[in-house]
Amino acid sequence: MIVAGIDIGSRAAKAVILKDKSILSSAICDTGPESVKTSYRVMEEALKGTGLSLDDIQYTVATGYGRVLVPYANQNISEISCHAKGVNWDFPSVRTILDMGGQDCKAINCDDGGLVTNFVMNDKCAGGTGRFLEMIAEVLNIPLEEIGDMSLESKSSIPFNTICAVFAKSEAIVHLRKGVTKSNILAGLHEAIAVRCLNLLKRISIEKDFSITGGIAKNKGMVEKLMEKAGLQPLLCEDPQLVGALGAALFAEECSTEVIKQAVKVQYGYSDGTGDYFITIVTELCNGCGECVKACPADIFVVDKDDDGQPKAKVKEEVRKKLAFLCPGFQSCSHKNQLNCHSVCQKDAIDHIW
Amino acid sequence: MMVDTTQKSNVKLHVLERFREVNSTFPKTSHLLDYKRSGNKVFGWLCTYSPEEIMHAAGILPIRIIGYSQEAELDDGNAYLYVNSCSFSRSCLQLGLGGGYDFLDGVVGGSTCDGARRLFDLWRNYIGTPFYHVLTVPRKYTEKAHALYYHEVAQFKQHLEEFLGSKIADEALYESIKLYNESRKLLRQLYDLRKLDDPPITGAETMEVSNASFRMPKEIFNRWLKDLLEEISASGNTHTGRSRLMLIGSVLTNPEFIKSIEDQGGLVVADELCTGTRYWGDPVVLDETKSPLEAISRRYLNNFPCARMFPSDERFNRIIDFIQDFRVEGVISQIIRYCVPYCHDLPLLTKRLKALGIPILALDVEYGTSGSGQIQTRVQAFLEMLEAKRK
Amino acid sequence: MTSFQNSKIDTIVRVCRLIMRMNRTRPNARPSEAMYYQMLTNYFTRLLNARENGDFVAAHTVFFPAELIYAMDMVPMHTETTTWMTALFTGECSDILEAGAQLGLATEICTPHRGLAGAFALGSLPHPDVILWSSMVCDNTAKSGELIMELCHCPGFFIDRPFNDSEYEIQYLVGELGDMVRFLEEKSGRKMNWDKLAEIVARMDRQIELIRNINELRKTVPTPFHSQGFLELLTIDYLFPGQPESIEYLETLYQELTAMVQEGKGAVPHEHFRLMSLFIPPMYLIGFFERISQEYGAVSVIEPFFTYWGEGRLDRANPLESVARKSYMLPEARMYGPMDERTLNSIVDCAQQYKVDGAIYYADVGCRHACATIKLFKDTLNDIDVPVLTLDCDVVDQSVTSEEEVREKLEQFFELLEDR
Repeated sequence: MIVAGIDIGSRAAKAVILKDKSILSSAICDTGPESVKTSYRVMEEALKGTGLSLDDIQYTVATGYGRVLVPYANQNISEISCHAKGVNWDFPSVRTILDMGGQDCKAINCDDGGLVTNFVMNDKCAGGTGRFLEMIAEVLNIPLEEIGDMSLESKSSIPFNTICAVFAKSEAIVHLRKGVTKSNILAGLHEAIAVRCLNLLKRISIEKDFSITGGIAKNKGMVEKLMEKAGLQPLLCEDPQLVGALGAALFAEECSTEVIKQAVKVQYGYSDGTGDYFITIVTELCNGCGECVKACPADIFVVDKDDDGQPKAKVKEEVRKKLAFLCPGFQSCSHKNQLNCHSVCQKDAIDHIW
Repeated sequence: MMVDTTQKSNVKLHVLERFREVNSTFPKTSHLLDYKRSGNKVFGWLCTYSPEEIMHAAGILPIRIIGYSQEAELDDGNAYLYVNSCSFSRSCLQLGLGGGYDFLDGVVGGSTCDGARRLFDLWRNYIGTPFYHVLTVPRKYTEKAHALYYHEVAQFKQHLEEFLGSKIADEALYESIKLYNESRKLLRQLYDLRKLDDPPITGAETMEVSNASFRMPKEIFNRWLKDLLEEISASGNTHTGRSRLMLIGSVLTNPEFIKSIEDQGGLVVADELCTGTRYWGDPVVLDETKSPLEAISRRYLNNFPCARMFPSDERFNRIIDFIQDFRVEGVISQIIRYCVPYCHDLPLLTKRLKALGIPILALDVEYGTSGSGQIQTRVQAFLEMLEAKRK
Repeated sequence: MTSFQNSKIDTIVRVCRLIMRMNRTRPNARPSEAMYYQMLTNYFTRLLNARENGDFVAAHTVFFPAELIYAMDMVPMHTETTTWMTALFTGECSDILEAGAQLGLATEICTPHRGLAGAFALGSLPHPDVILWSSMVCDNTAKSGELIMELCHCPGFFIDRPFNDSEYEIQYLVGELGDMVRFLEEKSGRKMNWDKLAEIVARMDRQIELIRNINELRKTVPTPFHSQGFLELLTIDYLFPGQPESIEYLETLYQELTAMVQEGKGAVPHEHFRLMSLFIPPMYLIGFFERISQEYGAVSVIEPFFTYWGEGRLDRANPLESVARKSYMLPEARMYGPMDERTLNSIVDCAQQYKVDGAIYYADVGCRHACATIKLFKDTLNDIDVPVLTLDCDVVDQSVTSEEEVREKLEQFFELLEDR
């Protein structure tokens, strides 16, 4: 059984491939502005050296900010559930997770199966997130990877009353000018962020074992502060950034075993600035009758042999990237055409997202 | 897992289209314009402590002041009410300052919360509506409080009579009560349909009906709702979802928000919204011991409470009753930023629900929001959590 | 809930004592100021020792008639003031604000209320025997009590103070007060001492008269009372209504100011700008504003919502009714009632009588009902040619604005006033 999990975050996209319940490979790359392209790219990266192609993957679960934009995903699951699942793989004893992502912060309680029992999110502002620390690193002219260690060098941290990104930035600059050392400033900021995180954790409940995930988990200074605040030694996954994608892959494993008997769907299409345009064909139900090919006024369909040699309806290769130009969407089309791909399909195998 | 909550296999409800038409053209709906053209008056009221029957008995068409239906640019609202007032009050003021309510002959409300209070202060000073009245609404349910509220309602009636130059007869009040009770009964019937396992109507659709209920003459609304109930019954429509949810919190009128929850598979089967359940709430109970005015004032103060009321257990108990009646599995609380009474209730309510094993998802929203990506993520995670719990 | 850690109250007491010691070394320190700090010291010391002394502690919210608590020989604890004092005297209150957030209270809930809930949760405030709160002056106050009851496991009573000052509504309030007295009698096993209450009411009447007289003196050009002195007047009203020390303090202050007026002396060497303060400046900037006052000769001569009492007298023969009426006479009552002609005219009167050059509106970011009147007051005051400066701030949260920012804005405002 080969399955995959893909996590499209606001900053980074990650993919994990599982084969027979163990990690075959993984990849991380920058998300950039085009999530759809990125979803292909990161998967390609992950597939490199495995001798496999996208078609070999039996089930994919997408998570993260861009989860609905992964065209080849069978399902999408929230990053909250995926994080809990991913952490559970390494540490089934964990009951409290703090995930500090690029744009938001989450506190999660889970059970021994890695299922979420409670959660709270903070994304009102950048304060206390990866983006905030990036900005501070820039202001202080220090590489991001070093700010954690540098904060630990501090002997007397400066109290910061706020971690509002706007105010904290000017406060930090004022301190710099006054001659306060960078490590003291960093220590102060790390403290303020940790307090924020503690507030979040207290709104759920802090039970052992405790884990921290997300890019910031690599920041030793942050981990120290959080350990102090939570009163618990955090268990850290080997690669905290991959936790979401790993969790997604684990869900894929579970779902695929259920779904083997159920329908397998293929989705064609894309998302762009104007919306999402996907047509789904449930190939399990499709009997290859070809009525949709005849009925479609835009000639989008074709019947072809699938991997098992069975005739199945597909969306023509050449039209997949320009679907919205040819197909006006189900509502519009069915209004004008009594005979359309949905109406003629005896098996109810075709669906439009628009 | 793609869940079928779409109406692909369900038939379109034509009567619902009529309600949608009213909502989309509001406030300049054809009913309203006709009403005004025939020389009648239209009053705007804010919040569920404004006694509509009295206005109706005086021959006035009472419609609700609810600002813009979506999130809007609120520059004037911000300038006058300041950015830390709730976006609902700012939305109403924005529309008012822009002339959106210039057809109103009167504006009526209660001293219910800070947002409402200040909205009225600014309305009185900057928007010239001919008739203006703010009732003092007590925060308690004691007999003394009822006496105060009755006094206020009587004062309001008197002020209205002076304005119109004619008395409001008891007979007229009885007629209005009957009409409004009919609306309440019909809305309750609509809601009761959602007690079923696979309800024939979604939460979003119900909100559309609810929205229309306070935007049009009740006479026509009642007829249309009866038609809709028949149509639903004949349709055989069903909606399935992953979990049964209840939506609580601040004032909400945008059905898109509910739809964005239901599109994720969460069936909203109940609510505690002042634009939903709390609007139709309890009927006016008539008996020989009370004058119609007394009956009206008693109903309005005792109605399903806003979070402003004390003790908060009254509200919590009603919510819990709904949870049990509608077999709700999870509660979604959406609170508008700066909606103080609701913010204060949340820690205590969460505790009560936790004791009953009901999870609650707390969302921060702005008035008119249709459901951003962030909200969808939380809702999705919440639904996943509810499913995991069932296993 | 953790057991009471008296550190914060302790700090307030110690700082008060320190200020008094420092005052003794200042040549022109006001005797009334020393009395004020002694009163604060006594108030908070009494709270510190309440448990030990077997006292009955009645916590109450702002504008709550503490006269009734005093009349029953109970120890009052003013919740919001204690939060402010904490910020003022300990320099920061982020821990209690964080504790408030951890309870699940949104940041939209104003800092005094979030802070006090947090303070109770942390055990930074003495455990009350009862919590008393009213709907004066906003939703935050009206909703604060139930959570405190839960946190402190104590009974509570809510006074529903109606919106308007019609006779009917005043009588409703009298009814509420009566019910509260019965509640307190039941919970404490003590009886209301109606004679004592009558005494307190009579003194409160005198207290209001004295404040009015002091305000009359403040009309003088140059004004004799220093800019942030109004905080003392405010605190006296909040913490010591109708108490003998209040009368002593006010009479002393009145004499001091009378002397200054007779000598033609002002609070600042060169009075340049007479300002009206709308709403309350941030606690942690009080010292800063004093310095600005001296530097620029800009003095706050009147505060319509804190020191400018409405019409009316209190009658010792009808103590409960007097306490109810007082609720509508309070300077702050203007914030809670409708913004009608009467209220707006009183602000205009204030500005004119006190020969005000400009007004500063302290836009407390957590106080939504106060900020919602900024435009209205600006327009009203602009009509009589009084410019208004709006300062975004928070009464206790230091992160909202900095001294530098405030200084800049004030300087610009003073330049504007100068040009006129």
